[in-house]
Amino acid sequence: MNLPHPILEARGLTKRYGDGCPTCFDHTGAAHGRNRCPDCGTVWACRDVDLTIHPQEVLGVVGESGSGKSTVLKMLHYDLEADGGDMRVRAEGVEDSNLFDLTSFRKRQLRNAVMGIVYQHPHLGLRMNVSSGGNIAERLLMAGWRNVGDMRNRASELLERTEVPVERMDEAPRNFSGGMQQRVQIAKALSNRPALLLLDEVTTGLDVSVQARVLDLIRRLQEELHVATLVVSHDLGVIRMLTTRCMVMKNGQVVESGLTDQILEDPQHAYTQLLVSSALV
Amino acid sequence: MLTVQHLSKTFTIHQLDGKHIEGVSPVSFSVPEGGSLALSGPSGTGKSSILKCLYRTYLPTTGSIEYESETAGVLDLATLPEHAMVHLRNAEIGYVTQFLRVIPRVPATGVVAEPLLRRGVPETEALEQAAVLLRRLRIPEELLDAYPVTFSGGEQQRVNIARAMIARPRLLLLDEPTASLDKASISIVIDLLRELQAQGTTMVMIFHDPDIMNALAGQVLSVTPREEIPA
Ligand SMILES: Nc1ncnc2c1ncn2[C@@H]1O[C@H](COP(=O)(O)OP(=O)(O)O)[C@@H](O)[C@H]1O
Ligand SMILES: [Mg+2]
Ligand SMILES: [Zn+2]
Repeated sequence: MNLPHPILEARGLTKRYGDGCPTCFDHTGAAHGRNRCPDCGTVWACRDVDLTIHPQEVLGVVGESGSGKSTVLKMLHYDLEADGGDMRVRAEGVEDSNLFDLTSFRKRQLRNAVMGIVYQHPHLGLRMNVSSGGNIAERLLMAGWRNVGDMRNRASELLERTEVPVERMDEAPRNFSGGMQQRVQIAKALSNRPALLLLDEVTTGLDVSVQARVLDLIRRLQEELHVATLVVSHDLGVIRMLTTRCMVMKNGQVVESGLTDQILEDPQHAYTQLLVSSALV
Repeated sequence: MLTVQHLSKTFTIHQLDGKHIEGVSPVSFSVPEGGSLALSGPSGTGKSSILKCLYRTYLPTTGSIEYESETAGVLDLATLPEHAMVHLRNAEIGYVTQFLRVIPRVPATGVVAEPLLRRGVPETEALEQAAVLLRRLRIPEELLDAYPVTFSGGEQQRVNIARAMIARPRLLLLDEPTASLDKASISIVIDLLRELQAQGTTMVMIFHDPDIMNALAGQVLSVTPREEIPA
């Protein structure tokens, strides 16, 4: 079968808070039910995580709060420095080497050119006092756009796509509802046509009906744009709706991965079985 | 086209101290290209689980599922890498159950057109084909753009069938897709499935109604009750 190469390949992703000690792994990880070493106090936020995303694919990461999902995503986006691991991205103009080893200048460039991110908390992804159009223009500037008219057109096109009334383009997101703030974040994340879209708990904390609308929007954008996407969520309903393949994390480790319908209908690991049987999906 | 050898499925339930539940006792069969095999037998013998193993919704415990793919030769669906399985589902293999399990808030034509969109058919054309098929299945005109969640059981089943067959899969897995249909609808479904068969689609099917089964299946495999596992 002539399948495309992965667009993102990450191996051995590791993030720890603390210096570690020789007995850390005797006490931490999914099998021990904790991520903090009782001997030295080091927190292993994520340990040895491998992940692959193919073009057009939507990969999910699910697990309880604190399992390390956001840590994985934030390392990929250079929000957090990795303590170990290797990341490769196959996209135009991206070097074929471990992208964790780049200079911080080049990391920023790369992030602006190939990635888009949407955080759970809009204030992490948006400048609340800058107009929504201005938020998008800033992102486009960082990605190398220069023509003001083009940027304004692109911003209004995206706000329309994400169902933000275009007449509110000059208003600051501070005044918007939570759902609309998320839609502005999504518009901003997509503005530079990223090769890879990262979504971190984007509907968590929203009212159920607002959640539904944001999920519908994301699904529709996926159908139209086919952007390779990583969806991080503690909510199996979100994972079911958006992803075709997913990984299950616990205490910083991946305990299981598979096709999403298989994970939901035939979970293998004890933890996944518990997660599925206690979820209403 | 499909050769299944010693396929079995055992579930391990960790919450019940690792209790084993036998889903499918070892089964072997093969279906030639364009052929149709019906699985028959009392309920609880694992017929649906066999189909789910073929579609990889269940991970087989033992055995192999050799499938002759269109472009990549013979592949073992029991061990095929996940993204390759996703590709096959999009391009070659359809699966339909009695229950419609669709994305909420998508109109009927959209639900049915989706497999075509995934194969790159332009949207207007895909929606048009979906409407034609739904009309043929006698879905009332005013429901074409309504959300299937609000439909009757029989209407949902017809949407479900339309979605599974619209892209003319090479292999179609059918699990009781007509259970709540009236006679007239059933005969339309049988006609549609026969047309697919005539065009070369291979099928593995479960139908309780022997008349439907006989109308569609070239061969029948009796799935025997599983053996009791001594505690
Ligand atoms: N700055 C930090 N110092 C110490 N521990 C941290 C820090 N940031 C995150 N952690 C810990 O790392 C673990 C993983 O966190 P996170 O990736 O946010 O989990 P998730 O996104 O799955 O909820 C948690 O135990 C968290 O408390
Ligand atoms: Mg998180
Ligand atoms: Zn330690």
